[in-house]
Amino acid sequence: MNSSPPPANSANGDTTNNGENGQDLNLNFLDKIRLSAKRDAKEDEGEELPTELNTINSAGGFLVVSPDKLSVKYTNTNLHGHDVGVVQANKPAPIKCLTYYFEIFVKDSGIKGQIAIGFTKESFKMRRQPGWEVNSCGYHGDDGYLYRGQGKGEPFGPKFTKDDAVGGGINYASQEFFFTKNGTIVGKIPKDIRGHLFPTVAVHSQNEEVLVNFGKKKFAFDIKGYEASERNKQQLAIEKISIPPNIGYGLVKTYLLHYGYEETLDAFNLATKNTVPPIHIDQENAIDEDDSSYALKQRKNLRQLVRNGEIDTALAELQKLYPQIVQDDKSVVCFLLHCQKFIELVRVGKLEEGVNYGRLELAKFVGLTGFQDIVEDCFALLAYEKPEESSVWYFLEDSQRELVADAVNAAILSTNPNKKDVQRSCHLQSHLEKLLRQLTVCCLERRSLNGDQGETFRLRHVLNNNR
Amino acid sequence: MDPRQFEHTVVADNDIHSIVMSYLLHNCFNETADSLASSTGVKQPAIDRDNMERRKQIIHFILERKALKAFELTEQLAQDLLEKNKDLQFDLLCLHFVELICAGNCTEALKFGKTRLAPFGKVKKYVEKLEDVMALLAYEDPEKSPMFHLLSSEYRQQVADNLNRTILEHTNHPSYTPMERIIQQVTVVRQYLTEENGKVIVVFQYFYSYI
Repeated sequence: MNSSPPPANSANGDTTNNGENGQDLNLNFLDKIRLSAKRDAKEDEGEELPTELNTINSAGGFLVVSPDKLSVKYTNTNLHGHDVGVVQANKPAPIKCLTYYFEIFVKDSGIKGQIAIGFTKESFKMRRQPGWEVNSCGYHGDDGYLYRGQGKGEPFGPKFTKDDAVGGGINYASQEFFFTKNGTIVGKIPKDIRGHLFPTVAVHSQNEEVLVNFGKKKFAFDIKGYEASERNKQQLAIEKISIPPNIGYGLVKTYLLHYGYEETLDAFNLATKNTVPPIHIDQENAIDEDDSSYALKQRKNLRQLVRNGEIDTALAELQKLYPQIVQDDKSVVCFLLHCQKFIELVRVGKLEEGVNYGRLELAKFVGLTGFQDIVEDCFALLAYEKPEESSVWYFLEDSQRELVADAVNAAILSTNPNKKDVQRSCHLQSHLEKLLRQLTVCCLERRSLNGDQGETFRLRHVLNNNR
Repeated sequence: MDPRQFEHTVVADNDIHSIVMSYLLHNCFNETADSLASSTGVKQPAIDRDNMERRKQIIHFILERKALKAFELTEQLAQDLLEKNKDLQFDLLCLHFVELICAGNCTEALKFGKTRLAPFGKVKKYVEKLEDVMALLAYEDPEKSPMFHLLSSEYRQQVADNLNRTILEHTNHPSYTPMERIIQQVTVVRQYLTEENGKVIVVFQYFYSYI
């Protein structure tokens, strides 16, 4: 499966959608196809997680790490403050999430019970307790103190010893460290260490032994519940924001106009005739509704043709009504239509005809970067007995037809002579879609200002967790 | 902020359709929702049709100035809902009072006010509104009074919205649509970026007419 798209070039005339750098703005539709391909992939941020203890840089000689790298034992008899047995996780804590959390279980508190859990940087001196050096922090079991860089710690929580499960975590939203004991939060402190931090465990007296849990087993602390309540706090702040009246109405109406869903628009207008007071739009900034209703009938008809898979008729109609759209045979719109024709032939099992058509109309796109990966994925349909069960199943769905219909829709809207140059790209998406993109980008920007730490906006969460 | 990020951000069409669909169902536009489902091929989520029909009726009664009918229907739908939401109960009763006044039925209004509205006067937070509402009696032409907004369709819409949300919440449905949540999020993030960091988002001016 091909993944990331290289930028594409296509020979464009004046009448197609050009951004400032001359690229076909319809490329966004190609990206949507690629998005379909990644649908099932998990929405992770590509960060590797800590899974086990790092045996390479640990304070060897003072401690022994088990073969499964999930427990550590202090074997020496300690003599002084520079013979702490410290071990870090194999990877730093991920940052592009709301929290990170891990736990230790004290199997044996040894002679002095000087166990610690905390976070340290990569360069940490591995013979000192976490928290005894700057840029580290540690919650110590022998005194229940929290140490964060000064020699003297501060009273923080209860001591901990044999059979206790103690956890250490980072809350990126509030920029705090937090610690737990046996399932309850002990306390939290501000995190003023920047950069990547390694989960760290330390043992310091003979026979101390500690098991480490990086998430393979169930935690004693309900971290999911904690995250949910933290999200709730953010959510409560958001929910207090007042929503301008009728904004939903405006967004839905422009959405329906944009996509040319004429019948639905009629139903909506009828339903809202008596309910909604007229919207007062500031004329200067107004999006002219008449522009959105431009060529509504034609757009509706073309949409219906494409939705029914009648690509030839669609192409003929476009040639008749808006020849400028199909003039450049290498444009995104033409590509999508030809692809769809190919797909329609595959759908009805006319594979040989499909191959011929593909050779005739799609082959020319193979050389062009930006189209190639999709052409290849399309042709891959031919390889399967049951293409609908393959990795390229999405091409056969009605949603693919919708996507092509949307591209045609946008192309027709772009022929509107009233559109000012500034608003060139306006017609490519409805306001609602633009709003969502803006939200995504703003959240990413906000996160990058936060040292790139924390969660970002996930539309899925809003749609699934709507309270 | 790199404006090119905006160009390359992709949103799935299904998500857009879902957002619109949930808005339509929340506001009981069932015919529109049906039409949208067949136009886009997006399936409607399984929702309580009966619940939606009733909410639709209730909303319409309020907008059509039949607040008492809305009151009755709400009681039928969920017996203790209005008891548990005194604010709403008060708003509905006030609306009925206003309807009586507008119909010129001042004696009836007075009687209603004394029996049903006055008891709310014992609770401090209702006093101001109660006084406003009762004061309408003093005007030959209530439209010209300072409380004319109580007669407006915007106000009726507002009460209808509140009642709709409360019923949804009471019957274990989300009381806010994803669309509204998204608008709130955009507002919050924009505020953050502007205030905290002095960045003004200039690229997106075509939204200012709506937000």
